[in-house]
Amino acid sequence: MRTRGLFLVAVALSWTGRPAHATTLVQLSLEQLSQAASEVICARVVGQETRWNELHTRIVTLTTLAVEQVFKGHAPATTEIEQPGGTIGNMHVHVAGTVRFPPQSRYLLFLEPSRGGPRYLVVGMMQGAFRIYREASSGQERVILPLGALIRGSSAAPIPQGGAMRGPTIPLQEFQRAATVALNAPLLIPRGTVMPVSIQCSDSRGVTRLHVGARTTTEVFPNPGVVIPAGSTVEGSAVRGPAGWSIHWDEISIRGRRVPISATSQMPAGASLAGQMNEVRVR
Amino acid sequence: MAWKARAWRRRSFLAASAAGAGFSCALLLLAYNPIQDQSALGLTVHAHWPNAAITWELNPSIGPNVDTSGGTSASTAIQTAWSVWKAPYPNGQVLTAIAITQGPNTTLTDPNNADCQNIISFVPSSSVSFPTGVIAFTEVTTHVVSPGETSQCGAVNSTSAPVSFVTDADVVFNPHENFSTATPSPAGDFDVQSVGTHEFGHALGLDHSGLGHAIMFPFGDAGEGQQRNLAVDDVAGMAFLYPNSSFEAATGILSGVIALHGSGVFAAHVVAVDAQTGAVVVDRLTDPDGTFRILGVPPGSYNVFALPLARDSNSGLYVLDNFSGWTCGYGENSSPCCDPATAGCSGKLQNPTGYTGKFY
Repeated sequence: MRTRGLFLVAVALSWTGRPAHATTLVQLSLEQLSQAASEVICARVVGQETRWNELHTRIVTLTTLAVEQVFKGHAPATTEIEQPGGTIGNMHVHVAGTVRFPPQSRYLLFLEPSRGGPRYLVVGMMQGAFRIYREASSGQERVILPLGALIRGSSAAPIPQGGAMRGPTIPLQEFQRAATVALNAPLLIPRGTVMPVSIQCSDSRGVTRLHVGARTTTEVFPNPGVVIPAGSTVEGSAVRGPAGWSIHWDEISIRGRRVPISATSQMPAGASLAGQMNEVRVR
Repeated sequence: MAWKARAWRRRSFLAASAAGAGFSCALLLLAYNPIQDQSALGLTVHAHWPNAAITWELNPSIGPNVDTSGGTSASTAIQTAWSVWKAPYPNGQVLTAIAITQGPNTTLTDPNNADCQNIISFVPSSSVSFPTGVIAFTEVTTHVVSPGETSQCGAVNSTSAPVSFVTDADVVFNPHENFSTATPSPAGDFDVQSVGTHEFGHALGLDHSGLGHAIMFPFGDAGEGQQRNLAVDDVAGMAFLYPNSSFEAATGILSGVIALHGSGVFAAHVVAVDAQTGAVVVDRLTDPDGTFRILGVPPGSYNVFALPLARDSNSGLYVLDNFSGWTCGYGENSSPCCDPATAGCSGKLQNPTGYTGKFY
């Protein structure tokens, strides 16, 4: 009984002692993982290679996956993930938060494109990798929730409200249902969301009217259910008046998903809009 | 102060596991965690800076994503973040022997795992990829060095046992996140100093901690209260890697052995809880012979309990993989991990606790 008491105390205090401090990772909810991912797949690890990058300055580990099922995106049958770090000879490069993929293991993965390459990154580092296994006693396929999804036990993980979740794993079917709900959930950019953007192009739609396209320059986390990755495209129209350009932004595209917004911003007259930095504030 | 822990037997393990069955957050008490490597003989060695000394260089360039209005300069925030790791213990005593030196500013922007320069950059090039949700990361290069041999950056192992030297550590802040040096950080901005302090813990040889109040805990949110100071767990981890002469005299040591049927249990998870406050203070894994020593514990009374690791990641939350270095399969040429899915268990560290019951 003493052991039980100690344990309950420790558990209770670790629960109430939830972290409230910024460190190195933003804890992403299932909704945010789904939004930030360009591809959501079920796949098996079929290969791994650790090597130097082209400049021979950094060690990277490439993991090759055989894709078994696609829930979002158009991942090729053989998909490659890139992560920093790994071991070559007696040199080890450690990067906390990366995923270690055992050979032949199966995962449900939330992936996003690597900048400037055909490979993918795991969204949120280890947060986007859910290992699948078959429970020996029941034969049931289950998913191991990443460590990060459990530490808070908050809405960040697919843990039902009310604490029905009883351990670090859940049935694969249950997780797939939760992921499907998250993937299909309506996406609404909350009022007051501010997005720094870089205007990329402006096409004339008349003497004083332009079509304007921009990309967000920073990641934005308006609430625990929404993430706007850097590089998301925002579109709108600009009208030139006596005080300058008045831009009405009406749509944002997040990983190809188009979401209507309503926002306005101003730019001085005379300046070329392309290349300018601006701030989109959603009404 | 030394406190001898009792040897807990298997029924204690089972009771503890059963007690935790109804809590999703159970077994989340993984605390300070040194980066570890394995020697050629399979020995686990903690990575640390040779001669307990590191020199860092800052690229002072910052982008528009770093807001210094209402706060210090980014350089000052970084200097302060480093100095935190040398800060006195809560009882006013310095416990670590680490020497942290600021070198000249650099123009380097990207990590280089082999140049023996330890840089901090707010302006990494586009070739450095940050997955969504990653605020910053640190690439820590280590070398396992045999006795009498020299590591890549010139440090000689003058001991009689293999060591793991950290030879390079580079920190990059995500240029697509908003940072601030103000106190408190504006909503939506991450605090430069607290993020820096966390990353510099990695650079000094610490992995993530599972204790929510520790600086080495991996998660946080923008605009929330900043954590700029070390927790006991962080201090203990740093002093474990770089103890000074007064470390053991100023703090206590929790030591003992975890045994099962008379034999020491390897890699049992030992947790120390403050008897007065109930706070989880620090924890460790047991050594191969079942013994453990938890260094850097403040004076006080503690309740200590032990939990088994799961035999594999299909059976529970904490396995050896969660303890950096005590693993296999990460590198191209290393042995595959023990994996029931493939019936391949060729790794050397299999089921170290000998635990066969259900693990929640």
